[in-house]
Amino acid sequence: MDYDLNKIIEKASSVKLPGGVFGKTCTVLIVVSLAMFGIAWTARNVWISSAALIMIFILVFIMLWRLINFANKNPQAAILEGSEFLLHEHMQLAAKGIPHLPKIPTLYMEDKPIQIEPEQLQSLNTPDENAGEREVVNG
Amino acid sequence: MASGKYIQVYLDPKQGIMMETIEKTMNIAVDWFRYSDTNWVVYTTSDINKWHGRLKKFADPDGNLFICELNINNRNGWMTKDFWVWLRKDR
Repeated sequence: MDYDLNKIIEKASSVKLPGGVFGKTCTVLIVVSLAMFGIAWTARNVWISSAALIMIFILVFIMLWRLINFANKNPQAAILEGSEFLLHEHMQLAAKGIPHLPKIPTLYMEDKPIQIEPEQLQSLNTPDENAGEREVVNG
Repeated sequence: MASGKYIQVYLDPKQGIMMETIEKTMNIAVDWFRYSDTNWVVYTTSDINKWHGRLKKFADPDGNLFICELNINNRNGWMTKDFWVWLRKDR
């Protein structure tokens, strides 16, 4: 089969990956996969080649699975670079005259702490009155 | 002196709008607090339509803008301490 390696590399280099954990890990995955493929290609031993190809499949499958899960839970961290991420975090909390407010988990609280009685706990998931009138397709 | 009220502003700006530009407009208000990159609680003496006029340029054509009055007397939630302090301020 005729193929031009330079053209393939040129096309691969034009693929734009976002930054952040997602972009970095994808780059590493591509490099590792290419290295494994190189080993599989040059080994001339069916067992080594098969093992390398299986390892590429397992590695890519597991890493992409974990990356997508991570990106679902932390979309900003997944695609933003370190400094961009910090800037984004800074941009979240502010007030007039106070450009940056700290976003510290221990500083989060209720305005008026509430006590929920055990019998009230059971009613938390009770739907509102008339809530069942509309059909829920994504419920 | 006109009495102020609280409004909730959700502003997801169109591409290319800097946060500083939005803050400059928000500073027209008596006071404001931004609790996420797109959500603001504003204490103002102006009405909703005036705020719509002020902020529309940041959202039009492909951003999002939602403004409504906010009754902070009936409130609770899980927010940073700074937010509650800001909300309880005497105005």
